[in-house]
Amino acid sequence: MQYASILKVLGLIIGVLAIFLLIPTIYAFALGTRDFHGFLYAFILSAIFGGLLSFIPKSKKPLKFRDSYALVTFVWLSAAFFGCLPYFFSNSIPGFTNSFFESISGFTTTGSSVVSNIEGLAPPTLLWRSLTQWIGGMGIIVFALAIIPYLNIGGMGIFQSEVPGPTAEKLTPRIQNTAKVLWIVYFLITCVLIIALWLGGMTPFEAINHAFTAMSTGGFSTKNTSIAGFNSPVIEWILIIFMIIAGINFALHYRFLFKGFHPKTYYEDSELRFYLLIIILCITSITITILIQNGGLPGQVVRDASFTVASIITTTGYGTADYELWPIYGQFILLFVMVIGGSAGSTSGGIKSVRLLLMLKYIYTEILKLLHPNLIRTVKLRNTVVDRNILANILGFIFIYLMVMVISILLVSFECKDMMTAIGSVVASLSNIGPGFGTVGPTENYAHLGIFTKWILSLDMVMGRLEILTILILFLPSTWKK
Amino acid sequence: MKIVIAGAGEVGYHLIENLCKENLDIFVIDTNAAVLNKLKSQYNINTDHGNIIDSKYIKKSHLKNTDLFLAITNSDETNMIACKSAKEAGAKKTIARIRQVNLDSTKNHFSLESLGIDWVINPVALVADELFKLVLTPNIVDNHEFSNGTVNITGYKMTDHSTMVGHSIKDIEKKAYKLFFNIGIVQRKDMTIIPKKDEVIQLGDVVYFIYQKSDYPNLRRTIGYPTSHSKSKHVFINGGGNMGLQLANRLEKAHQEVKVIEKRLARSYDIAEKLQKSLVLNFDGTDLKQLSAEGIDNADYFISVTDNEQVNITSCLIANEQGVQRTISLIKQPELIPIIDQNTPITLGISPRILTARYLLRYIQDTHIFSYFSIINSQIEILEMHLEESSTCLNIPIKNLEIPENIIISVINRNEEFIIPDGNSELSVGDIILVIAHRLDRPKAIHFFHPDSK
Repeated sequence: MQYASILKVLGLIIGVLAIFLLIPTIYAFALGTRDFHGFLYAFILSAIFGGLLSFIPKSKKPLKFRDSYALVTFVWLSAAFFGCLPYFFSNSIPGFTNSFFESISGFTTTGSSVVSNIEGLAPPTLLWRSLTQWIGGMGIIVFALAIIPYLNIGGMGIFQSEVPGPTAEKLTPRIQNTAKVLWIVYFLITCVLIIALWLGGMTPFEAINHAFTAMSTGGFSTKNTSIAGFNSPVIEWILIIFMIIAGINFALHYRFLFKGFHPKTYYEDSELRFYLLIIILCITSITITILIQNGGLPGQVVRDASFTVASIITTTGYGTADYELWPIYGQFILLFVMVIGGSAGSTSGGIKSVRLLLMLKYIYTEILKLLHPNLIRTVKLRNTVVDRNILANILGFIFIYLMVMVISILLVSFECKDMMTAIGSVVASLSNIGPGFGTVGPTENYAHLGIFTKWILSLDMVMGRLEILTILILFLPSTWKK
Repeated sequence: MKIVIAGAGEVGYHLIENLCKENLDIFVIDTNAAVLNKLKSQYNINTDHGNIIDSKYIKKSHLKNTDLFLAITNSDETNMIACKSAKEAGAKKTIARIRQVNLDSTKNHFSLESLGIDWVINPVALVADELFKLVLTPNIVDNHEFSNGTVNITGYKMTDHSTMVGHSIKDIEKKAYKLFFNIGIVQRKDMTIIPKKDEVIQLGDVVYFIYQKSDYPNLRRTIGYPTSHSKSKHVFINGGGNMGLQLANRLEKAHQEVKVIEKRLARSYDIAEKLQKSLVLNFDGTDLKQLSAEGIDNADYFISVTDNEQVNITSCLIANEQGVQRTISLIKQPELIPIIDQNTPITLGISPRILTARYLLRYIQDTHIFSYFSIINSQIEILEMHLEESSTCLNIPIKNLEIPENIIISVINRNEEFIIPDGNSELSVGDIILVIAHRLDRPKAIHFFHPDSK
């Protein structure tokens, strides 16, 4: 392990975080709200810490793979730590466990909250919650890569471990430019959404907060009742569209926006077609089930079903309708899309639709081989062959994902009273969604859970965001040997 | 007309054999002295020994005043450079044989003109194209487009499904909604007939129709063949080389059910990458057990295109034995084709050399002939000519013209109007005419319609 290099990079990134902390600090100072001192202490602490670490002399040795995995994990844990300090110092959220839970739920874009009265929080705290999600959405490392030239060390390794999906795509020859380009696209779409929400009837403050949390598929809101609090079909439809956009691979958005606005970029992508197909199928079947079993106005039901499916599959976690009142069939569809998640290279969580698509293709090939013993066939995606290593990797990933899920449910069930809560909270945390089932459903929050459960769920959130293997590698003894 | 041919390989040899029958100055360049000597003693041509792209051997004077330069050596690169140097030395038109490089002009980063190449010929693609047409339109024997594609000649084989069999041409023309086609030539066994109106079509005849392209569906209806191929065909391709791959690629795009059999494992993976829906099977194409396990008895076509002639013939025979109605085998030696066609149950032998030579011959023609088409295994051809003011046959009823014997004006294309002439029709300036004539009568035909020609 190259501790010196890792700590130096860590220091630089904490420094970047300090600059982000400055935004709500100034805002709190201007408004004169009671959480000002919390932000000030957090800013000073992270600035000092980051500053000290970044004075470590530059190492000439390049980072190895295991170093970059460790670095990525440390970056996320320390971001969550420094990010929770404002809540803790200002006592906006009582206790360290709760503050850390809220902070990591923000950075990992999960969006599960321990705050019961969100509207009671001061505006700077609300802004910071949204901001943590916005940073975590495209990724702290990707952001750091884009702005700190010194990070030109880990190369593809650290980039790969943060961008979700089986393989990260390099959009430009240099990784720094790729990171820059991704953040520019992310920033531009966020700006469009801010304007759209403002025109749709939100106040500018609400529009900024919700644009941050929608584009990052995070799901924090400024209202106690989430999006239902606005009671506005226009806002709901705007969010449905932009949540789905946020669940699409940002490499596609980049090609569309910067390479000549060809609609072909989108409709020729097989992962995107598969992702949209899942969304349409789920919305249709849920709508039909509700209309048959529960009844209601078709317009309202279609909107509720669309909003909930978009919110869950992109792992955003906004709520309008209480889906726990839906027929069980509809709830199971939601549980299913919770695990799938959005596209690779997007800001969403879950297994990712491309992995599911490749596995389906792989299974089809295997069945075909039973019929034709001499068949030679390769799995293809976008007309290029998918390497067998990647397929094996995906199989392993899905297995570990389910294993982590099962073990977490076991651990959580120590303190949980009912099964749906145990399953729902773990799935919602591991896939970075937010609302689950049972007592952590769309109308409730996570405040009542035990301390142990909260730490397990926090770990699940980081594992889900960094796609598990990055973290699991640190549990191997050989990673730590010289 | 002066023609320089670089490369006396497989294709070159067959081409020279055909060209010698014409009144042409042929000059052959090759690195193999023995082949050149053989050619020189056999045919009335001149040769030079040396590498075509080595200026030490090839003098510029050889390339001067060349009407057509053909680069058909085995190397793509040599052919490209040869065409470039020939063009700079003053060759009027150049043709390069290119096999490996994908020369789809819409996707290339360079233009063929910049390489000094006027036309490209790719024998592998030619054969794949031919096989593709055979599978999709099984009864079409041959097809050619005249007048930039507005007028077609198509040869149909008459099968049990055709309603024309047993009827005279007069009857057939009466039954059609209007006279939109001309039956120019009928091929019966070894004979080629220029039919009179009372000729009766027999089973197994190949009938050549000349018609406007827009009338294609009407023509198929008149013959009694369905216009659309609703049912997809089950095609086995033995051999996953370039030819097999190209054929499979085109067939699967046309929604046919394709199975490609390839013996080499590494190559199987290669083609599996390049094909989308086709099944790639890794076993020996002569393995009877495997073939029947894959359902060869349900196949509509068995096409063998491996590099090995014996394997092709053997696997086709096996397929025939298993009940496949149509088997096609790739045969390299042109002499073997009639033997295969007549003495074995194999439906068809196909030779890249014959196809390539026939294709190249289309470019070697008199300046007064815009395009021409020759019937397979026959001396009859159809010439496309454009009438100029100097012609002496204008504005006179055809029955009063003294057209030489055995030369027939088949159709007239006048400003996109398609006319089937009778005795009272008159020719006018700008008409495009299609003339049926014997190969030996070609000079007479040219002289008649273009009296100022030499």
